[in-house]
Amino acid sequence: MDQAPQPPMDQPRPSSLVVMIGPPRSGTTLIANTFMSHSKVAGLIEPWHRRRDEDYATTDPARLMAENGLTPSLGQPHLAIKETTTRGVNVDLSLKLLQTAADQGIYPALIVILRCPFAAFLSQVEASRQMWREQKLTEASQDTLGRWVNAQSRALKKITDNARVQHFRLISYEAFCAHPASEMARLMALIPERLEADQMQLRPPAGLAAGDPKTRAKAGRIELTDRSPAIAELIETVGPGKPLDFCQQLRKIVLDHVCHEPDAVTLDRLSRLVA
Amino acid sequence: MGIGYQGTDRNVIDYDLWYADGNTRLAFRGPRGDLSAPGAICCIGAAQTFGRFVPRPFAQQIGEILGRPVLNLGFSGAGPEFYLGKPPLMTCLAGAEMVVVQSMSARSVSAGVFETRGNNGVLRFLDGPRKGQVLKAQKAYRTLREEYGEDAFRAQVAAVQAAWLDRHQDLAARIPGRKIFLWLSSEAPGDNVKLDKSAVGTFPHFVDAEMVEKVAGMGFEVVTCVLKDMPPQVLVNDRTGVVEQVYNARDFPDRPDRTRALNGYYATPDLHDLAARKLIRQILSV
Repeated sequence: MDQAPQPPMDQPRPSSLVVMIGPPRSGTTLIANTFMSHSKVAGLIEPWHRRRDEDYATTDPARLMAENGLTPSLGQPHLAIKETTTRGVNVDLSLKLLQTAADQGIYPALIVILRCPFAAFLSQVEASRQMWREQKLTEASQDTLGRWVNAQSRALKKITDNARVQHFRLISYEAFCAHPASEMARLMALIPERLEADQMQLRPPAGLAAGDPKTRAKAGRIELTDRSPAIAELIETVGPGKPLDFCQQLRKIVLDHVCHEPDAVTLDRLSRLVA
Repeated sequence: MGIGYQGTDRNVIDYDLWYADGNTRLAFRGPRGDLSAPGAICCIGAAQTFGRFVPRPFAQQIGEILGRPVLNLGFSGAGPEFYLGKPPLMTCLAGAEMVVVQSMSARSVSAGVFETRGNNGVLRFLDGPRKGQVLKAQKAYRTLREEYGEDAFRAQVAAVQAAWLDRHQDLAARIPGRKIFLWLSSEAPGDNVKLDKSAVGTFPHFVDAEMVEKVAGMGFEVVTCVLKDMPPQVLVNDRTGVVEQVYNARDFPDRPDRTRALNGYYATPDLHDLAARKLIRQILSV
């Protein structure tokens, strides 16, 4: 029988490991930073994506912490990792990390972060043009939306197929912006810790980089950009077809169901959409 | 204590805690609900209503079966004053179409020489040689009996029973909708109050048959749900299926080893299933 990989004896392990993941430009950094700014949580932002050039792929929790300059301690018993579905391998590594944690007796938990897909897509186009070094998605068109949908539906399928293996929460960027304290308190209860007042400063915790320059500019407050006119224009541009159908159904799930019904019911809806 | 249970029990069950009305200190058992939902059924009570160790508490079951919004507002250790002292919750109960009030322990009521503290599971002595000290409820009553004497103990029981009735009268007056009192226990009313061998008897502590009759006179419909000799529930990791020692030696050093993975106190899934069926029958009877 295969043995679970064990960390070196001299590396202490966290008691909980939380993976926070969602499509890019879905508020993952804001929500993760807020979660990780809890005094008992050590956080890592995009450990694999940041080091993609070196094919970084560590999925042992203790080693991951050590290799990223974190030291598990009694004062910070929880480790949180934030990644996005930008690359399929980010999802694979996130799920592998959760499995490794469970095999080592660490409590694993998953938080799936979603946002209206039209808004996330348009935000990614904007970010790609203005902020990112890899300018892969700089135009909003039927073709680029189609490719985005294919990538995200594949990623969401992997996530929904594996979400029930551990305890999980779904959260939408929209719900978090509307009720940041109660939604963050709900996420913290998963580990479980009580919400701390400092978390509502909505700033990256010390030692963690903000996601991008725009996030830094927004630190301390939540600003939900109204993208309604751009979304209407995008829908007009894209026209009927599979990508538009997928985005409209996902938008309905995100806006009408996430945080409005039990997460398990919403996960079933997501599973059916991406099946 | 909802969040406390999530900590101790997290390998066995996910309570899916949520926070209502912007209050990030008061965690309720999921699935989440809307305090202002029209036609809601609200369930209030202690850890039994919360559903410690129970994947589908009776509140969730009646919601799913009847297709109605149901709020599980159960809270560990709660007595009636826990709700009476929280205006947002009382507003919710006042607006509910129906409120199920689980039989809460009279032990969790402030009266006589005790004042409830925290989540009502601990008591503070207001008088006598222990004045100012705070003890867990069972230990507090045992101490009272041993150190203050049998007469003082009996007077204390009578005081909390009277206060318990007063609080239920307050609840009844402030809940205009239909009210159901759910007796949830391993003993029939009265059989739970045998104080010769124990200082508190069986849950709901100190609530006897006469008190239940008086509650019926306050406008509550009474549903009696008893699972005699409730078999203990083996606690199992919900991810791995392996037996889980929730009551581990480090945090519960006084507990016998053979009971570390057993729930023999809180209402088991079998009792919740029975309660759901009885409640649904009662709800549909009118």
